[in-house]
Amino acid sequence: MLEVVLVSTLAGLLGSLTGLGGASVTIPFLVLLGVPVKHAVASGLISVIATSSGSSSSFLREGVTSLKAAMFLECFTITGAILGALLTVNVSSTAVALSFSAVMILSLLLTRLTGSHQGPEGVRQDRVSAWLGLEGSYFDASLGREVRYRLTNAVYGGLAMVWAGAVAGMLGIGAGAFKVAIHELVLRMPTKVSTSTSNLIMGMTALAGAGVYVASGLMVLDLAAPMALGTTLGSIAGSSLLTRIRDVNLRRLYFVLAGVSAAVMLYRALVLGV
Amino acid sequence: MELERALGFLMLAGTLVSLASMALGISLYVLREGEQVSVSDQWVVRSNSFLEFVAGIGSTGSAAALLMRLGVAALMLTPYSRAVVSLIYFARRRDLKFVAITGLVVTVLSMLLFMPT
Repeated sequence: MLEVVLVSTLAGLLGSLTGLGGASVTIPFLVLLGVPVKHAVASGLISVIATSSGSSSSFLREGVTSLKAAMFLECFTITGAILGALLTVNVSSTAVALSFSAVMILSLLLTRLTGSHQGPEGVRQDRVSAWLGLEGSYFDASLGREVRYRLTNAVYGGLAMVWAGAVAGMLGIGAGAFKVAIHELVLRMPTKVSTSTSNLIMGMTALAGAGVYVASGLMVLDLAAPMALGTTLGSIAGSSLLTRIRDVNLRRLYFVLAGVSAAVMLYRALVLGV
Repeated sequence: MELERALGFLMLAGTLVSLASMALGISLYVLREGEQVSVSDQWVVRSNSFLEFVAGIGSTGSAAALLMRLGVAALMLTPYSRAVVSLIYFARRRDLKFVAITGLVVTVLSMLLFMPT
């Protein structure tokens, strides 16, 4: 039990810093130790809520998060999360483990495409984004100035977020890589706003998936609680460090974490069996 | 910023309450059940909905399970409360676009969490 708390604390710290989410690291570890995949996935969503709530509390107070964008995109992610969780309830554990590994590899590829930009300049808003008022500003401590931004392609971004939500609900993770990729490549969100908004959306998305798992008998209390406790502690520490670390270093850390998680789940599914 | 600050404190409060409850539950668990995590019937949640899960908290056998259930319930209610508070905020500001958007999120989550499957 205490081992789960300690590992989850480290995973929560790293997950909060990178936007990956602690569950992406904790779930493969628990599966490797013999915890059934679907129980680990269901309990993972509780730790995603914890990670999100812990880190979002300070992001919100610092004014980095785009709350309106989050509310709009959550309409799409919760729909995806419910569908994804229903899928996990109905498919084999091996399929879930292989999907997990594939999603981690895909997230590595996606992350290579996303932002080294601190704030996209000259974005022309489309009509829907302008109508929704999807714009804002935040103070970037690493740049030492106020960064203003405008979002675009709200409808396309929203539709893509259904898929990100489905990945989160199906695999018990925050799916931060997909959310961040959609934020930056489609909506043209600055990296720090993208990371903090992704953190906020993760919690609501995970809640939708967890609602399905609570009603399907896959949630395990003595697994969910230590995972949630550890990731909450880690994410609070991580969020206080985020604005002091350069984006390029966060990105390198992300690559290592996603790669290890993918390898572990593949090993568990193909070599040890689930 | 007014809403962001309020939501930030709400999420901090929800996180701290759940954190404290789960930490106590885990401590009791380790003292009484030992170190091993158990995927047995006593610890698997079997409810038709989140509402039934919350309603069953009082009838939980052990204090460790009760505290862990309370912690998980508080944690799950935190983002839900964030959506409800946002809905109230947008309604007070008569921002009809975001009343509709946030209202949709609250409606879907309410049906999922409070209606039996």
